[in-house]
Amino acid sequence: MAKTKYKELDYTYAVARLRALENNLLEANGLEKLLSAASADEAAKHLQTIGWKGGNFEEMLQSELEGLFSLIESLGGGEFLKTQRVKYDYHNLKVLIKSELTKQNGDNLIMNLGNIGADIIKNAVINRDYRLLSEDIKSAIALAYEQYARISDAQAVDIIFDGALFHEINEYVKELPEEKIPVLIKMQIDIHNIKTFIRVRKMGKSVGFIEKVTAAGGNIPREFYIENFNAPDNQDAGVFEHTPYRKVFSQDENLELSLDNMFMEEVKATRFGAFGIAPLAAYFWMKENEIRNVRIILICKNAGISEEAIRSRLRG
Amino acid sequence: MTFTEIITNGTFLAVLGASIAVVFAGMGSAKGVGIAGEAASGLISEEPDRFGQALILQALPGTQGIYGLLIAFMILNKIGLLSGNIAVSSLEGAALLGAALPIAVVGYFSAIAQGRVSASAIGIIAKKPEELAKGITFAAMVETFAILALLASLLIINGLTVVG
Repeated sequence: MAKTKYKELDYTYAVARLRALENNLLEANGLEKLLSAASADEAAKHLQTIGWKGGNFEEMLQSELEGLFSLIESLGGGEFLKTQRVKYDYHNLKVLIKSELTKQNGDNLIMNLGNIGADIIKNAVINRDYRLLSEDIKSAIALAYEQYARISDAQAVDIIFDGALFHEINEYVKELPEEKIPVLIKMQIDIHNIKTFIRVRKMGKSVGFIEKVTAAGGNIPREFYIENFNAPDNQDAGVFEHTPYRKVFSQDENLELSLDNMFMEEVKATRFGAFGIAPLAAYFWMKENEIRNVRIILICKNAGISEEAIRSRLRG
Repeated sequence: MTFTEIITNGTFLAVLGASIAVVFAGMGSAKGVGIAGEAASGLISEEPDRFGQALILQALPGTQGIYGLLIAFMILNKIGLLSGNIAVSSLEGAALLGAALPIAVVGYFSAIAQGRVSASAIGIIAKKPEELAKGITFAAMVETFAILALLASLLIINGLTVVG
């Protein structure tokens, strides 16, 4: 079937509706209210008063996330969502493979938001029959088993799947008809590669490993990470001196947090358009970030972490 | 009557002018009001109590269609079509056709542009309903050019003497 031509005026209804919904997003003030709640239960009660549904934390967060996906899907953002669903395919894969390797049951962590049904992934992993999975997934699975057999390190498994994930996202981005979203996804790929670069260097892996787990398609080419892999330790800032990301290395904040914040700043700059699909993507990322922040608050409050410490972990 | 005779006929040219004024300005307005209406529906599905504000913004790109009709009416009046005594020469008909062009062309494009501004302004009232006036002002800026075109069409029609 021929692809229908992208017309930015097709999203006028959607953008206006999301603009109204943006008012309900928990930004700094709303999050402060949750932070100042006496307990995690109090915070959850507050969420219920503003329309969050579900009996416990997980249900509430899950139902908000599912609601977000179905909203954006219903507003015509399906093509964009494919790029965002990939990470749930890989999340499920990670859970299933890690639970197999570590002999723990992770079924309660499975999420049904991916492009591929969670059942299909589960059957494929259990039966070692990967015919219905993509080439990226197949090679990541093989690499993960191989690495785990050698060093029994679950973090390496995560890094392998994240690398393949962004490679696959990049394939979906090529299908997107407009320009602003691919720019943001390029930034996501860079951020992923930078985080991986730093983690993998700390783990003391070889340059061959970084080659396998960085994703192509970002603004910074993969060769950059390979060439700089053996730069002296504590020289991360120097490595990224001539990239757009140098400013996050000069900040005192946690690096991963600063990178995420940098991405959210770009997203917020995109949301003000009145036409086209980019504001749908911006709303999606803002709501996704809100859900992530609420999750951090609820979990940390439950663990008795201080307000100040929780605040320093919030994004955007 | 040959084809050449038809297209050089004064009545035909004047009526053609009246028609394009209505058709193009009307098409532009329909499109502009449509764009703003889609945005308004998006807002109303979440905030039904902002209907009145959204309606004002939706109505703004509709004026070009009215201007087109006004010019058409003036042309038809000028050639006596409304009173039944049509008297217009080829040259006069061609001049009246020319008079219709400003509102037809500018009306079409300005209505669409205004519809886009109105749709964007609906984004303003989605976030800050108290700032409606600013949204209206932005949309009204586009109106300026439709009014200038209307004025040009009016001046041309008024300045022409039709004796037949």
